[in-house]
Amino acid sequence: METLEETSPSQTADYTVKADHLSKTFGSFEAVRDVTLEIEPGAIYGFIGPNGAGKTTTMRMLATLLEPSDGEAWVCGLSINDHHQENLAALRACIGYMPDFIGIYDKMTCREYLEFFAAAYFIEPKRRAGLINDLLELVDLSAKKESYIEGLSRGMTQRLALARTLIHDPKLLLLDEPASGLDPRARVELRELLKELSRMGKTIIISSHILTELTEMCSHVGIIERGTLLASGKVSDILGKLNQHMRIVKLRIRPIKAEKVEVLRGILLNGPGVKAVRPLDSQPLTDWEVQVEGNEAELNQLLRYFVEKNVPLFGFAEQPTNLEEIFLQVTKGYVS
Amino acid sequence: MAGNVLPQPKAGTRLGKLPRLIGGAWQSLRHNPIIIKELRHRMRSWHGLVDLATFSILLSGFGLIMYNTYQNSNRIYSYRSYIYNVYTSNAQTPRSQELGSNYFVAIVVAQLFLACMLAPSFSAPTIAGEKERQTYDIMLVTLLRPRDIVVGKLFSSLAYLMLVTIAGVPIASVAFLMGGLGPDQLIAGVVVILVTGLSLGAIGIYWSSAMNRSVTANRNAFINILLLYFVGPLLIVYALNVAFQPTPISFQFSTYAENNLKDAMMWVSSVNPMYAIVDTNEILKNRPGSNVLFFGNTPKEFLFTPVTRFLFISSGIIFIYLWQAVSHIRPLRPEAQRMAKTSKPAKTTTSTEAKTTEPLG
Repeated sequence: METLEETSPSQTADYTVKADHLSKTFGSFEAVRDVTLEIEPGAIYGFIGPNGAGKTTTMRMLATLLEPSDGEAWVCGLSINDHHQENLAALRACIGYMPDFIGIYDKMTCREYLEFFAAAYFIEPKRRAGLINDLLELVDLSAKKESYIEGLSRGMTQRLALARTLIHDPKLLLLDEPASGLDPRARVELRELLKELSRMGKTIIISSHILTELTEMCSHVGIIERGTLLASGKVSDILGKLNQHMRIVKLRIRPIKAEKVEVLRGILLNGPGVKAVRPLDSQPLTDWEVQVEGNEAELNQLLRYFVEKNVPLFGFAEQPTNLEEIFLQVTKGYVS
Repeated sequence: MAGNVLPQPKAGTRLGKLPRLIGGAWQSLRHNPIIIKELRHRMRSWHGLVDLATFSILLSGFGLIMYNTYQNSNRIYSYRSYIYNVYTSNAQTPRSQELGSNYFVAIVVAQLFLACMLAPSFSAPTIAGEKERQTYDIMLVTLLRPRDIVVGKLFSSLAYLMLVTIAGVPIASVAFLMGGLGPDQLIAGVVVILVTGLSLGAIGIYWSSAMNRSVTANRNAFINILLLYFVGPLLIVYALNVAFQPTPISFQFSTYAENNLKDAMMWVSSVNPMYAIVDTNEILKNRPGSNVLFFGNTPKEFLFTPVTRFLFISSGIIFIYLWQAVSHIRPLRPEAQRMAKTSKPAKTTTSTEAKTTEPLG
């Protein structure tokens, strides 16, 4: 499939993550192919794709857990291909990684769990207690400080894992499917927590195949399918680009006689830039959806055309496009 | 760089002249949170205490059986000495000394057997267990180096064995009452048990790093140990015996060649710690001037006792298996370092050659 991204010389922008033609193959299987992306500091980057699209593989490469087969990536300005101990240590100090499955240790309290990771990040012993208290407060687990981890609910475990990810104050959080298996309340809590972290200046890459999860929080989005990054950038930019190609307009029309429906359909289809028309309800046919190719000026022309053709219109509204529609349209190749 | 993190300790910087390897291992031990975590986990459970008590009781029972055997044997000996009018007033007779020494060897061999069972079964599930619990990745992305992980896992799994070994020292020390045992032998016995634990633990850690499941790691570790420590040496010694056995129609060995062959067989046999302890004990009894490390008054071919040879061989085994284990748990392979040499730094790239993504363009 042809990729959507176009490349142009970059300016001097400083990116938290920059990947340049990153690829990973397992034998003959190409898990990730030529992924090129840039993520600005403070962004919440939603990494969207179906299961097996290459999200986890890309994140594991960025987390220095997998070696790329080809290409290069920099996290906080440090190459993931430079495996010298000093570089790896600096790189890992910048990254907080939360895998899709939260592994926990038995017979360990929340405090001990965080203490272990604080020590594993060489945080000064005298600072650990205060840091752990702050983190548990941030993730709302202060009351569970001395509780055994195996007794926590799934949502609490997830929040504890997030606290663990934050223990060394990383600049970048790589969160692989953090909301999977959570109940609606826990999802909302997690979303609020991530927004709070973004306000604290963290750059977050969050992967999911549940788009509604990401809709409200992501400032940036990357859509990946079969290892290929189909689109990447700010949500608003992608929406803008997408809207240049395809807009959905909802029409509300005064009820008309049944024999005139086909005439109306013909008029609607002949409108400038109209690609498809479909009624949204049965009799009486009042609501219609029109797919239009073009920008705002073309929408204006279309409205004028309908008025000129005496279409009994009393509603004309462009449908806001959400991540779900972006994903569907991008993966269908509408905008390629 | 994130603000919370201390710079990593550098291997060997504080230890000056010590070799970098030992310095690195020491630093790995000093700053290793894995040891605390694992020991806390093991000792928090009542199993640890119960197991330790069981091992001590079993070893004491075994010691008691050996002591009774000694008593009975000594009574017979006293009876014989009475008949043959051999007067022995000292409790530590040559016979008593011999039995004291045998008692000690039996206790050490029992502890070695325990070490053979415990060391791999404690160490083999450690890293594979992290993979099964899916905590492996989050451990790898910390600032702990593969070396720290291996050393931490090894020592935490062997700490318990050390406890069992130390608990067995008073039982072995009963041999002092009978005589025939020097402090050097006791120290050598403890050292051989601990080194055996280390080397078997290293094999367990290696398989743990190579396998994804604890059961498989355990199985492979035990097969490896069986082949390396028991079946392998036995077959090699047997083959050497068959291949070089002098017969009337073949050439006669010179004393020098024969000594070399015996020496070679001793090296091979000394892989096995039980052989090393038993044979060294025999050497101490039969060759005057020998100590636990060196032969006395023997041809130059035989310089080291089996215990010394065992320590040499074990050092090699420990090093090779741990090195391999470290290589296994390093997620990034050395090939990538070659790529890194040719890659350009991010800042340079962004200003000159980097490409930006224009979504949906």
